[in-house]
Amino acid sequence: MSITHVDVRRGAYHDSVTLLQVSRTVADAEGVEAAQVAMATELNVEVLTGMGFDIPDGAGPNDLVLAVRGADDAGVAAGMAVAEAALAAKSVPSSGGFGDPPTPRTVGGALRAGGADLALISVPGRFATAEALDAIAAGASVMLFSDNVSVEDEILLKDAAADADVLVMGPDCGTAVIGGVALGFANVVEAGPIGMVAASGTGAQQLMCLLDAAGVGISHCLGVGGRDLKTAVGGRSTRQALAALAADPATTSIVVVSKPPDEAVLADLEEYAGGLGVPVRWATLGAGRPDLTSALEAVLRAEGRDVPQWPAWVASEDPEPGSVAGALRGLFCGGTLADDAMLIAAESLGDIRSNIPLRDDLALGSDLRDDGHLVIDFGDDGLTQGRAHPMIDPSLRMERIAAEAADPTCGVLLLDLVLGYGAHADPAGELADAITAARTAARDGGRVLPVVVSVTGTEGDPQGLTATCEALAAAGASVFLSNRDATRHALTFLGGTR
Amino acid sequence: MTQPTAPTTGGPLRGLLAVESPAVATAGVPLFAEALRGQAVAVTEADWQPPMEGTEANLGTVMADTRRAEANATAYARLTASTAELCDVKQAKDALGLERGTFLHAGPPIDWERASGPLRGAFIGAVLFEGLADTAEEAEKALAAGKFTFEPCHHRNAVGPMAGVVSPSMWMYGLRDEVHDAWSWCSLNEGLGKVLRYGAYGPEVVDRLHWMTDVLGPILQQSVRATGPFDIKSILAQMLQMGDEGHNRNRAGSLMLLRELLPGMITADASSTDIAEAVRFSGANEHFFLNLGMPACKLATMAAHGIPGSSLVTTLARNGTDFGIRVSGTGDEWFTGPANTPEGLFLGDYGPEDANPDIGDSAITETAGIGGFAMAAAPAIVKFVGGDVAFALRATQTMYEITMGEHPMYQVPILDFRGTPTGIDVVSVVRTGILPQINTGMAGRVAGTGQVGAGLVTPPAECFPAALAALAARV
Amino acid sequence: MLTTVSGVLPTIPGAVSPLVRGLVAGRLRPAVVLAAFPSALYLALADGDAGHADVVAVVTSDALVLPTSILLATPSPHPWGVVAGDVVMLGGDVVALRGHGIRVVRSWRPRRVGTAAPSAATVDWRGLLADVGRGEGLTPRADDVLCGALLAARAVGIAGPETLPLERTTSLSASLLVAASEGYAVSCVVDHVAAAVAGSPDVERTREQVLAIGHTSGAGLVEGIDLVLHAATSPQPEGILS
Repeated sequence: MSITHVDVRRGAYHDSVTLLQVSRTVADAEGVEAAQVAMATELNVEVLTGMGFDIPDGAGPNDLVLAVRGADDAGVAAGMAVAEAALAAKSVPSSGGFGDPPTPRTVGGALRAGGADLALISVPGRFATAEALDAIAAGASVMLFSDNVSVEDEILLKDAAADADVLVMGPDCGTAVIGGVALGFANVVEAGPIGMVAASGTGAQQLMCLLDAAGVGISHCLGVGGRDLKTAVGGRSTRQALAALAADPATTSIVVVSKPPDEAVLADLEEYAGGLGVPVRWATLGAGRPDLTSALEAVLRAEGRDVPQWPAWVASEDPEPGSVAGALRGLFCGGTLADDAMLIAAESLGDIRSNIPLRDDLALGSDLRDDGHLVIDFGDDGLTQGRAHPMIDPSLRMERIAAEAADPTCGVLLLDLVLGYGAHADPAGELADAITAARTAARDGGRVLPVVVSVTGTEGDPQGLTATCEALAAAGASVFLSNRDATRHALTFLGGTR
Repeated sequence: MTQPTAPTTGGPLRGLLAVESPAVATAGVPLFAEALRGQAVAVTEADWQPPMEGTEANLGTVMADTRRAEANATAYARLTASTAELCDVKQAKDALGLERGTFLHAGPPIDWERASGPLRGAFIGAVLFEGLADTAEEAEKALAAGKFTFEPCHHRNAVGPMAGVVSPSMWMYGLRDEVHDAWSWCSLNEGLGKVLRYGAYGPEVVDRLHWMTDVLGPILQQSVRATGPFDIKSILAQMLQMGDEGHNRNRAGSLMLLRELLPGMITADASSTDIAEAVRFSGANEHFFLNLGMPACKLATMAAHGIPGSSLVTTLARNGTDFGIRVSGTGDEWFTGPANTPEGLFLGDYGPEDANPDIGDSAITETAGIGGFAMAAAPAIVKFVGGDVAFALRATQTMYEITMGEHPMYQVPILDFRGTPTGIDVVSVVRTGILPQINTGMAGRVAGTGQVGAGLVTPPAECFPAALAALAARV
Repeated sequence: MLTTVSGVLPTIPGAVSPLVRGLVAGRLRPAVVLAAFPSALYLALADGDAGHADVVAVVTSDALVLPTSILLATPSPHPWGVVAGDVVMLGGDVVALRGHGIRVVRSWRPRRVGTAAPSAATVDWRGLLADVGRGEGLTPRADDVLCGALLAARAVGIAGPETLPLERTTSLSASLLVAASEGYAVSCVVDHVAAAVAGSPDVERTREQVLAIGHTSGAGLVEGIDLVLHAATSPQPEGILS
């Protein structure tokens, strides 16, 4: 015994072609014997009546009739469900039609227009919160390159993101790699089993380049922003990133890299990581903790991999170890590389003055001058106001290299150079010229100035690791892939009488 | 649209780490988009610009309001779910309880002092029509002396085109939203030329109002009561597919409405001469339908109004001096700025210097997702309001940037039946700086002139940051 | 976005699947254009060493992503500059077309059907294998059914056939059979197999997504998946009748 069902919807207008398609779809549904979805015009009512449907009085041409005959109640229900779905599907926007839509104006609009998986936001900081909230509302994770976002807004964004099951990488996040795609500043590395969580951009780059040199690839590198491991933010993004990587089949172990974190946050995170079922290792800088290279070497050993000889090009014309009077002058573009170098150097040199000092009393004045050991981070916010990051615009550091060459208190120059996506397209030539000029100027002043460069890069990078290092070595510099090795090499020169 | 490569079946971070090849949306430094393209990544770059000045803190507050997503979803759902059926025709004194000596008008509240020419003209005409003065001078003097009460139509769930002046004896269409159990009212359309709504108040204007009161109103009432109700929302959906946009082009809608009303008009209890004149009058007026489309839109926006946390715009209205908006989450507060003067095409010898600043409640159509927002559905309108067909297409497509959704019933054939951009979001307007596109008629600046043209206009930008600030204050 | 290779051929960037990376990264070899659609180009290696299933797809950002694809960042239509039957060169991380080339700049990560512990259930593959090549088009329907079956078998731990009669079907289809035997397929198919095996409530939706593939490919895939999952859960371990 068949069952018929007729539903009249007032004012639900659809064009006849749409309804014809919907009718066919419904008629094909399992358990449906006959179906018609049509506007209740006189003609259609006649047809429907002819099909054995009883159309209620008062149904008019502006009313939609859904008529289904099924083998049983289940068939009717199935038919009605199919009709609902088909009608709903018909009202889903299509991208066709005349005229290209205008370019979206907001990140949410861009996400919707492009069907994108994540958002990369680099608008000025005071506008960044709104854009990031928009992306989160659109269900996308965000890489937030913008800096000058308040801690309050950072917490707000990260809480909103956690609620929406998306990740906020940032603010002030320079490096991330998702599924082999480099966002911001990142190196070209192979796919592999190591997942990275990075509260430090250049720290992450140093690690991924060392891994690359060891023949180990990464699955993903999730940035979390430089403040994530500070007490105020409390590791909000790090937790999410750890959980996501732990659930990722491509990731078999995780490394967290950070500038010196707040101890309580680190302790909480270590406890959290312990329950994830995937080994999590820490390259979190700090006095008494391993430097980046040593932390990475520990990871390799724990993974049962060999620790390779890190690539190095040692200059032949440098002075004897311990023969140089004068101080260490570290001029860095990468903040974490600068921190790493300072922590290593401080063990043998003692206090080092800096614009990103290890202790407040070691802060440099605004002229950035001192006769003793010093390390300057040219990428620090204080030096990038109104100018591009030194990885893009190296001019400020170039000036300082020249100044150090002329300064008799400078005993050794320690520099970094970061390659990869986002960095200067040909940084080696310019830096090599500056090194040559510096060494010449020092020689003219009666000194031999050793120059040591820590190069963070891979062969796959657009600039090429070997080509870059050879160009710098040809200018007389010693070049190391490991920031630790570069720093230690620079320290070997010092010790002469001042 | 890029083919999604994220898994559709769960995983942390919505499957981000299992994406085969991430597609990225960017806003900000073009260098990053370029670097991604160099990696063969599909990039959609937003043409990002800073939001309206001084709004960033309020944007952060409002966008972070945890109520907003659901409040907007609710408001939008109510807006699109509302129905609109023409159920009755009554005099304003019965429909709205409008007292003798009280006059409704379009737009936000205003007094005589600041009222523009056409609004003053319409008040004068209405005073004469109600027999509250014998001459225009006498009417003007009484109006200026504050003898009468003014009130926005919107405060009585009514809407009025152009000056929108309603007096107790005027007949009104009554539309009902079955879903939300609400009524909205709008006066009968007087036709084109010298008419009260454009501020004309000469004898022919007042005579026509009397005829409408004595003859047309009762016939329409009989027709609606005998053969109604009539589904106005359905006519709106159909007319958009027939080249109307429902604000400044209502040709198909007017014919469809007449088709519904005719049987009941013809059989009404009235003299055949009166019936013939009522039919002729109705059929001769291609904006006959506007006065039904507007209250239909009003019902939709009323349904969406008053939801705490919602940033959906529920009123755009102008009184010829001020443009006012109201927002679902800020209750009955008006946010106003000086009305712009439309740009467009002029009738006869009239020119830009004859045009009055923007006037009328008819921007309720744009508020509900038609009118200027549906311009792509009505390319022929550019002959009336100016611009070209490409502009009409672009206008609709641009409005998607500031709206919450695509109307499930109002569709644009030339955009492959995409729903019209519906539900203006204050937040989106402030962020993008894109102002709602309104198609409108232009009234003469001088009281008594009537219509001088038609064209395009936008609200003054300052309404939106003000509304945003009020939303932020309520978080 | 065009960059010049050796000053001659401008190239656009592409992302390669690890499944065909070796074919594109190796020495320069000729390849025949099997088909050129607005959103996809199918190339079959054509020198003496090439296997029948050595096929590389190049697809635009809005195309269906086969697991053997090089992905472009831009939507269709792409002006390939070649038609079916033309010979192009492939190798050194470049696909050299007429007037422009596609340079591989990274790998993408095709999703893969997970494996399960070996199951007691079996599938008699003979009938499915006998039908390989039956049907019209670049991927005959019987091959789609087999692809679905191979994917589902992997997911439930049923052993696949010893060998696949690749020579009996088109090169494109053969390449997809090889991919399927390794657990690779269009991402929504991988999702659907996972959902179906897990008995997830998502399965209706994922099934619809698979059914939307091609004209009949989706239906074929679903048929194959259902066949094996039915065999895996049916009381008789014999499973499918041939």
